[in-house]
Amino acid sequence: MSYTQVLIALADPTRRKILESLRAAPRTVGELAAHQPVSRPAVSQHLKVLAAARLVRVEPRGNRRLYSVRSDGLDELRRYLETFWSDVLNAYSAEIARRMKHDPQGE
Amino acid sequence: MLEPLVKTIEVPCSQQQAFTVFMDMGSWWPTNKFATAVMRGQTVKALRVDARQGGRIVEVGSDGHEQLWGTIKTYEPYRYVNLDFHIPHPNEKNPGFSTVEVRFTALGDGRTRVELTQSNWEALGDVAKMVQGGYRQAWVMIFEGAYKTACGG
Repeated sequence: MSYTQVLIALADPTRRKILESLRAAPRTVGELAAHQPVSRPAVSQHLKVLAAARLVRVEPRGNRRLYSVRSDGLDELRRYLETFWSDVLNAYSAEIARRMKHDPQGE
Repeated sequence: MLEPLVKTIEVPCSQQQAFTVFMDMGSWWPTNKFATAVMRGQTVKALRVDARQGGRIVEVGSDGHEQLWGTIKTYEPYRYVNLDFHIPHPNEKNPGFSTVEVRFTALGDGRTRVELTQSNWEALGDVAKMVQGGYRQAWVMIFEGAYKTACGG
């Protein structure tokens, strides 16, 4: 379930900050580390988690690697939120149908 | 501000029955799918609902861990209920609560309309903001991209 990966990725405040700064413009690991109170290896680790959740993509640009935001990762989370109540209300309707079968008067 | 989410259904029973079954959440909630315990790789042993004003909704995991899902702020049988509600991810620290309101309206002929509104997304913090950001980006692409192109821009 990839929305879970998205939630885990977004649960960390440093990763949210990294993602926010990538929304402004694509950046390299070095540029990201310069704006965060964390080391370059730590930023690389966070980018790995964000990439696994499909929230960022990486492209080679000369001898550098440029990171940018992917919006389809957030779409996954949005779809999850949208289907949530439909599934829950379907379960509720099914329970009513089950009870009405056993007790059509509905007490 | 994020738009409230509204879902409306009709159920084939009396208003009283619709309300009673709704509050008996443990009997129908898809706990195999939507629960904090599931996100931790556990199952749900019980869903406890204290159906009264100020009552709490608590998930009990198969490992005995108790997770608060929300509190009943307004309890008006068999018409209306207002909850502070959120099923948090296990990694969320100090999760906030959205507002869930459910209205029950008798339609006659043994049918009832159930309208659910979820709002106050902002209380969920940065995660909600990111979702909103996703929408905003999508609209930019749809309007400033595809629509403009379609209009010959």
